[in-house]
Order: sequence, then structure tokens, then C-alpha cells
Amino acid sequence: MAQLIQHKCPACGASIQFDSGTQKMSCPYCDSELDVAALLSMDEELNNDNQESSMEWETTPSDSWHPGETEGIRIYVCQSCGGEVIGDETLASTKCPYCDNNVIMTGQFQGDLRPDYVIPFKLSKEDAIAGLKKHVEGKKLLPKIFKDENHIEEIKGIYVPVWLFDADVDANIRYIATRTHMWSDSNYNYTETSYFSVTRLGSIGFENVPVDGSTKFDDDVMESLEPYDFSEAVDFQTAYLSGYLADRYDVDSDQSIARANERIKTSTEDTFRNTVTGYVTVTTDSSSINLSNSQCKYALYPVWILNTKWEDKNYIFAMNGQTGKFVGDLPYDKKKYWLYFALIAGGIAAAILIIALLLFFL
Amino acid sequence: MKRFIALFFALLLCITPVIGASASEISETDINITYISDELDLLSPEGEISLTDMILDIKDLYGCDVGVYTVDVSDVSFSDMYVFEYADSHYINAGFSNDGILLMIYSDGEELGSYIKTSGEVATVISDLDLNIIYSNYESYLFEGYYFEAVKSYIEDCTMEFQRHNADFSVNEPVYIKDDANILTDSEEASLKEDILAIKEEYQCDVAFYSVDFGSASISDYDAQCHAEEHYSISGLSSDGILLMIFFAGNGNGTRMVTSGECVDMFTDDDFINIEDNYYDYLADGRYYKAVESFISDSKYEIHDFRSFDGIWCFIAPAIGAVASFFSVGKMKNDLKSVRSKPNASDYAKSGSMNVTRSNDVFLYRRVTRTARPKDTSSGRSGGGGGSFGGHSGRRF
Repeated sequence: MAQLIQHKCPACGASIQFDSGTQKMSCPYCDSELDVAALLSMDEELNNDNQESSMEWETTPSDSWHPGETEGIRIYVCQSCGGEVIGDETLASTKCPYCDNNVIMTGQFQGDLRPDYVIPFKLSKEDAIAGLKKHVEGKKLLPKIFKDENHIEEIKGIYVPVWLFDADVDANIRYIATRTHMWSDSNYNYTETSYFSVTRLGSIGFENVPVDGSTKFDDDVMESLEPYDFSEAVDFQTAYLSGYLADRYDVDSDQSIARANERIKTSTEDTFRNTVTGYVTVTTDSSSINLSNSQCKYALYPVWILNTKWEDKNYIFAMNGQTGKFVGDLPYDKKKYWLYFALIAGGIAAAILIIALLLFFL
Repeated sequence: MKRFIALFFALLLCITPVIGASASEISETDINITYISDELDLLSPEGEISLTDMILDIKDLYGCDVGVYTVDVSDVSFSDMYVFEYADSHYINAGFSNDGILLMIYSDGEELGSYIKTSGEVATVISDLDLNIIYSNYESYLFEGYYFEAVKSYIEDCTMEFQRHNADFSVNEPVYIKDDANILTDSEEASLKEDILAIKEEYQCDVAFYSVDFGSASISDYDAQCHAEEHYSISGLSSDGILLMIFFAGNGNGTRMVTSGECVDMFTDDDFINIEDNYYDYLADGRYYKAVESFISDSKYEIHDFRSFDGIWCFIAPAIGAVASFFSVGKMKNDLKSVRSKPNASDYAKSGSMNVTRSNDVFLYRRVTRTARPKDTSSGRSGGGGGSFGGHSGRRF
């Protein structure tokens, strides 16, 4: 059975969680605050003092899992109440459904699965709720009923696993550029197009290019939440996960390289193209991109997330837990769409007709 | 937005009376006619005053304008064509009425020349023979340097001609139908004139017909055009109008349509072709009355069409509205979408890390394409004949 960890308040013994406002561990019952580093020292001491009790029961289950049936499923036992928590193989942090204590599956972060960095949540659930309200504000085509039924209380904070790629790029790019010149005589209009081969060689460095490491979290949503400020990242400690959900990666770094390369290549070509000036058109003809000093890191990025369903379709909204950037595609009301279409078309048509009539009669 | 639209129309309503008032002020104000324009300084100020008094007396007595214009043309390559154009241009710019006569004395730097332009009914009153007499009378004064006497002789001769013909240009009505080729009966002319006057009353636009027989002379399209425009100028027709000229010549009979003023824009090339198609068969059959009747009827239709509110706006306005609305509502719909993949990593480029080590721009080749410019057709505007005309050269029949 997988190992669980719970961080407890040294004053009252209740489960404590990470407070995004104070960036410290706080106890919701006695309001005690504790540094993450101090908490870790105390946890180590407690582990050394811990005496194992022997109160084991002999039980014979009436039935057992069939082979393959438990694949992808993990069962954890809450250390506070003994309740069983069932989750998938990537679940890394959650709340016990029986006692509501925060539990962290430390087994998910052992060995090469341990994240290098974590960007702690800076924004609270209240900020996320405010962000969602602002996100739907002023959207004229949004169905009214959708605003009323978007279950904002179900917003959850989750740490999404990401791979961060660093590399220095040596680029050798060839562009085809054109200049045009026009003139005319009494019979013809002439257009002269001059073609140029433009070569740019150079280097550029990239750091912390993120690629989503979770298949459960939509890649486009994760990229829409960018950028994250990596300067606020800290070394990973499980304490930061308290009070939030967390997943471990299920897309490894090798699988993420292709996406990182694609983004780095596009950026390199665009950046060097900006040095090609004085032409009417510039198109990339060929590019050779070589990477050096490349390395990859594993990190957890904070996201506030809300999944909701409307008219049998799932909608996902997410907020960058560090910067507050909010994204999420919203549905549109077809009736409102055609109403606005008719109003605008009618208004413009009427205005044109009035102006035409005025011009005619004046 | 609503406030802006309301403000726009309020401003429009405020400006409208101002524009209307300005227009009426202009039309009600007497245009200051420059009867004597002496750019060569041939006349003394006292002489100019004296001659102007004579000209104003003619205006009072006969209702027509007599003008004098001296001009230095030494800086242009001068030809007879320029003489006509200079005279025509000055006649219009000086503000002369339709019925008038202008003496232009020009200097090319070495010697003096002169030209007399007649317009409207004056052209019908003063014949070429009369002009020769006027010319021979002032010519001797002119070339001996007695400029005042030369101009005075010209004005006195004009007065004498007007007196001799008992002319009164103030009551002349435009010549809507002039059938010099005698292809219409009197009753047919009367009937057609009735239609023309009805159009004039309803649309303030002249429709006129002119037939001429050049006998065995060969007439080119250009000659026909000049002749038609000249006739339009001397017929006393208003500035807005259309004239059909049917001519008979040694090299074939033909037609020419000439438009002036607002009618230049009113009648398009397609309109001309359409009108011609409708009257051509009648002409070929020798049914001239039906041909002219068809021309007048079609002209009325085109004028009515142009002066009526164009119903096409009822289709254009909703179409523009629909397209604009499509983009506007499309933007609203697009605002609902905020999830987009990020194709690049520009946010993660190390600051100051970019270094261009080699930069090379090489010219490869050059390609030239050409497209033909639209050519002028036989229809169009021309500047001859005392104003800006449009027109159409018809088929020979």
C-alpha cells in the first residue's frame, strides 16, 4: 500500500495546509503559522520518535480483485481517520473524503518522480472566483443560464506537472525576401519584384520552456495560462501541496521534447526574421537549429480549475495560480447571436439608407 | 453609441440649412462679369472704362454679352486649336451668358493675332460674312497700334449688327429642335417639342435634336462631334442637357449624341448604346420621327432614373449591414474563446542572449509583370465647343 503523509499542527494536532497569502503553513483551527522549513524539521523529529503499534486484524475478504482490474487504481489509507482513499495512479495530493484532512501521496514523488521545483500558489480560491466572474463579464453572447449554473464553489486548486526545457540554440536560417517597385507608361502598369536570399547565423538561449506533463490536463489550456514567472519557483517540498490537488506526470520528458523543440524552433525563426528588414515579404526557406547545453527539469505549476457541464458539453476554466490569468472557452447563445446580428445589420442598413436619402434630397 | 449617432444626425440637420442658404446666396448674387480682360495692357484704364460703358449699353439694349480679351501666349506652343480653346475657356471663366460675342487679341511674343467667338443666338444672328466685315474694320487699327480704336470699332460693329437684325436676346428661348436637313414635318416637330418641354419642366434638363445635311462633304467622327458640340453651345440650351445630331454626309450618314453638365454623368456608355440600339432601326428605315421620338423617350427614362432615388440602395444597405454585422457578431463570438495553443517560446528567450554572427543578403533575380492600362473609347468628355461635353459616336446608317 502506498505511503501517505499528513502535516499536523504542533499546537493542536489538526491537519494544516499551505496558505497562498502568507506563503506559510497555517492551521485552520488554532490559527498557528509555521515556516515550511521549520515544519519539515519537526516532521523529521516526529518520524524518529514514532513507535509502531501492533493492532492488526485478520480479515478474509469475501471477494478479491480480479487480475488486471486494479490496473491504474491506487488505494491509500488516511492516517487521521483510517478511511480508504481510492485514486488513479497519478494522484499525488488530495483531501480525505471522510475527515477532510489533506493527504499527500509521498510515493508519487519518490526517486526520479520527485519534482525539482514548485511554484507555490499566490492566489486564493476567492481570487479564482473573482477571476471567473470577471471572465464572464461583458460577454454579450454568453447564455444567461450558464452564468447562473457555473458551480463556482467547485473551483479546485491543482498543481500541474510540467517539464521545463533549457537550451542554447545555434541557428542557420535562410529566408526568401522580396522588394517591389511599380511604375507605368501610357500603355501599361509595371510591377518589378526583386528576389533576395537572406541568411542569418547566430545563437539565442531559452530557459524554462514549459511543456504540460499531464494527459489529464489539456495542453492548449496549460499553454494559454502562460507565462509563469519561474523566478518565484522554490525547491520542491510536499508541504506546498497541502490543501491542493496534485498529479504526478504521466507524459515523460522524452515525450515532451517534440513540443519543446517545435516552440523553440518557431521562436528562433521569428526572432531572426525580425532582423531581416527593408523587404516587402520575408518567408522562411530553410532553417537549421542545433541545441547545446540542453537540460530538462520537472516542476509543478499552480492552477485553479473548474470543470462544468452545460447542454451535455464539458467546459473547463482555469486560472494561473501565480499571475491570475484566466482562460476558458465559453458557449454562445444562438438566439442571442441572431438577435445581435439582426440588430446590428438592421441598424447599419437603416443608417446607410437615411444618409442616402439625405444626400438625394439635399 | 446612441449618443454619437444622435449627435451625427443633429449636426447633419444643423449643417443642411447652412449649405442650402449658401447655395441660394450664390445663385441670387449677380455674377461679376469681366467684360474686358486686358492682360497685354493694350488699353488705358480710361479707355477700358469707356469701352465697358459701351458694352453695358449693349447688354441693356439687346440682352447679350460683348467681351474683349487680350492674352500673352508666347510661353506655349500656339496653334489654331489653342486659339479656340483659349477663347472658349475665357468665355466660360469670365461669366458670359449663353448669348454673347468675344474678341480675343493674342500675342505670341512677335506679333498680334485675333479671333472672334460667338455663342448662343448671337452665333445665328451674326453670320460669317458679318464677322468678316467686323474683322476687316478693326484689323487696320489693331496692326497700326490703335488698340482702343480697334476694340471700339469691334463694339460699334456688333451694335450695328444687333440693331440691323432687330435682335433681342433676352427673350430668346433655347432651340430644342433644329431640323436643317428637313427630315421632320412641322407637326412632327411640334409634337416632339411638346415632349421635350414636358421633360424640361419636370426635370430642368434639356433634350434637343439637330439634323444637318453636309451634302457631299466627308465628315469624320471628330468633325461630327465638334459640330454637335458647337450647335449645343449656340442653341441657348441650359448647361444640363443632351443633344442628338443626325447628319447626312458624303461619306455616310450618322448620328452623334452630346451631353453637357450633369447629363455627362447621367448618361453612361451603356445608356448611349441602349438609346442608339432603340432608334437605329427607325433611322435605317428612314422613319426619322420615330427615331427622334425614341431618343427623347429613352433620354427621359435615363434622366428620370438618375434623378429618382436609386432603389439599389435598398439592396446595398442591408448587404453592407449584414457583412458588417457578420464581422461584429463574429468578434463577439470570438471573445468567448480564450484557449489557444502557444506556438512559440518567445516568453522564455534569455534576455540579451541573441547574437547574430553572420548576416548575408544576396540578390537572386528580378521579375517584371505588366498589365494593360484601360484605353479611352469613342465615348467620353471633350473640352471643345465652349464647355465640357460628353458624348457618343453613333453607327453610320
